[in-house]
Amino acid sequence: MTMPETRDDSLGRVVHRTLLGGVILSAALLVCGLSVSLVQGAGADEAASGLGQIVRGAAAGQGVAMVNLGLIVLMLTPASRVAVLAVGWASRGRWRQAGIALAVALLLGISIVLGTG
Amino acid sequence: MDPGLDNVFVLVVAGAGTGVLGALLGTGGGVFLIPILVVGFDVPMHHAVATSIISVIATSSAVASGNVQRGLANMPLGMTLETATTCGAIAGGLTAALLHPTLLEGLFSFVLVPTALLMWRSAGAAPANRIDPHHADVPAAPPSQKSPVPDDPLAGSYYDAALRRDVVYRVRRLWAGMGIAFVAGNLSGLLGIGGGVFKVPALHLVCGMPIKAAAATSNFMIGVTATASAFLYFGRGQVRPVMTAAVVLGVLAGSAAGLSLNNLARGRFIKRLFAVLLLAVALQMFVRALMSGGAS
Repeated sequence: MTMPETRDDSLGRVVHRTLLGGVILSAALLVCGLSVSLVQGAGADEAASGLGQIVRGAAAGQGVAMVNLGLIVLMLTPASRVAVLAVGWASRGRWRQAGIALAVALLLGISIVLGTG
Repeated sequence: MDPGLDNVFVLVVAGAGTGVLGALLGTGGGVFLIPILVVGFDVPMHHAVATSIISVIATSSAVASGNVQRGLANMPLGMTLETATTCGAIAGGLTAALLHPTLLEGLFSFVLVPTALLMWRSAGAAPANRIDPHHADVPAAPPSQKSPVPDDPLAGSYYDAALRRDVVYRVRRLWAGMGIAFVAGNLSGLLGIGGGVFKVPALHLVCGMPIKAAAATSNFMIGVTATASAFLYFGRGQVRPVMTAAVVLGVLAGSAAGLSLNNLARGRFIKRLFAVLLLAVALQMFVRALMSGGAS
């Protein structure tokens, strides 16, 4: 006999899918980007210069830009998990946990601003 | 000089090797990855740390997704401790920018010593997939319940397949756990290691969590902790995209392979062999830091 799914089970499932989806999407972008870079032979391993430029470059099929986009997606994956839990706990009335998740999201936001601002 | 496209395949293999080791030995791959990049490929220390931090995000996210699905990771506790780990990681990431690479290498070699000692000790301990039944000191409850102990939102439970029953536990000494989490986050931001080798024993011994839940919750936290400092390195231009992508893909593949080879690591000999190897690496990095410090 299987147990009926609770709302907490469904939240765990959303977190699972968020993390796995982020890893799969970023890995796909990294594989594509590396492959294109190898074909293009663009050897310069330059650091990223800005989100807009990365997105435009990736859309234009530039390998290194696709790699950078994949890395950004990867870095945002755990942050997305924090956002999912904040919303999920708030919608279940678990305000204390939602508040803690918001605090973590705020700290991550500070880090993003410090890093890219 | 960072390795570029010419070395993509070698970097994937190096990443895969550290991924396998990390999964086999129950450590983050960073303790092996950074020495390989710095000593083997002559990558600047800050770039190696940045690469390690991002590969830690990849493996942590992949493993945590499975642990969450199985109900092993205690998400409320993990999120609470993440307030401390992210503060520590931001502080570490900011501090790293101020430190000379040689000093960072020296610090890294020092941290490898307790890591090796803990690895040596863990060789004689019960593996993380066995549960100490003494920790199951409150009645079992379905793992899906929001907290198995009504007055304790941080209490957790999970189904242990080996014991064929639910294991329920309370978390003790949260503030001590927060302090340890801050230090682990700081080490992550400063040196690019996940810090699980310190956090898991601390959550088990200090906070009273069963070792399996401690390992899963530690892993759950590592991704967010690493993200907190990753953006700092990214913004400073220390994330080299091609090198990092190759290593990340290798580490992901290696971790998956390592988990399927996990039985091999049950022998004491392998863990102790790598503990000694880690000490040798620590010595080599210390000597290297000493020599470059003397030369500069």
